[in-house]
Amino acid sequence: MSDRAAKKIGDDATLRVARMVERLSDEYAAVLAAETGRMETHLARMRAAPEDGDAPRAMFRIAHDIKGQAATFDRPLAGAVAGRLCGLLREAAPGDVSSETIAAHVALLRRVVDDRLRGAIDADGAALLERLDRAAGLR
Amino acid sequence: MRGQGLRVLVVDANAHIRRLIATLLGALEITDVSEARSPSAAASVLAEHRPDLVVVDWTNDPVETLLFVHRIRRGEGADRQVPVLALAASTHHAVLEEAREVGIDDVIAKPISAVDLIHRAAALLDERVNGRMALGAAAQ
Repeated sequence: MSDRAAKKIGDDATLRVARMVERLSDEYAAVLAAETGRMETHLARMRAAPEDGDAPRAMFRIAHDIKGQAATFDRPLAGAVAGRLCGLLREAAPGDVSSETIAAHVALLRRVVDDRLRGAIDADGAALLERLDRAAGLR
Repeated sequence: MRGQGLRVLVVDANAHIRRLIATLLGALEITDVSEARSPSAAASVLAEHRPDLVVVDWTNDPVETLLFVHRIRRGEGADRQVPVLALAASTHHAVLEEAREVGIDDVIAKPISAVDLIHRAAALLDERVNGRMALGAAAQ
């Protein structure tokens, strides 16, 4: 972004944008809760039929959406969790990734929703991500 | 800048992101925003809506998006000069190079920063409006 562009928009518009993002971030709580609920449904499907590839594919799509949106709406921890899940599921065949590993990611998303975790990833958030990576065998 | 009277087309598979962008454009006083779920769905909207800016997701179906921009630049159903702002997975130099080659004017990495998005949209719209004024002056 150039200084020229910033000057053209002006402080008022920048302030308006900040207010709009704040409002939309509040509204995103419901979206993230619904998406996490869908994740939990697909996880249950996956556990019931591990050979079925539809549930992991659906989970990948949801995780991909969350990865692309959550940080914009002040939930970077949810974005980081979803990004990790995307990475695990992207090329995976059914059964490649254990349901326990996926469940750990979904559980952390649920925690973000239930505890209303917002803002930059702090030391606690970093520790949760580290634990998640260990569970996935990435550390 | 004031965006009254300007039109923007937002192409993204996700309704929440489309709504976010349409809402944010209100900060520039842009209210005429059309939406499409995919580049293929956007083709007819493009011809009908005649936007001054296209904001398109480049992460969902990258190839379809590149073909979409390519068709715009060939003047198929659109003003071939309309600026295109792409939402990409990264702004790695290879991505920017590919964007330049196909005719994408600017790229923002997802997750998008709302302020950055509006700044870049404003800059592209500003260039378009100034370009039109210059053309008008030259014609006189």
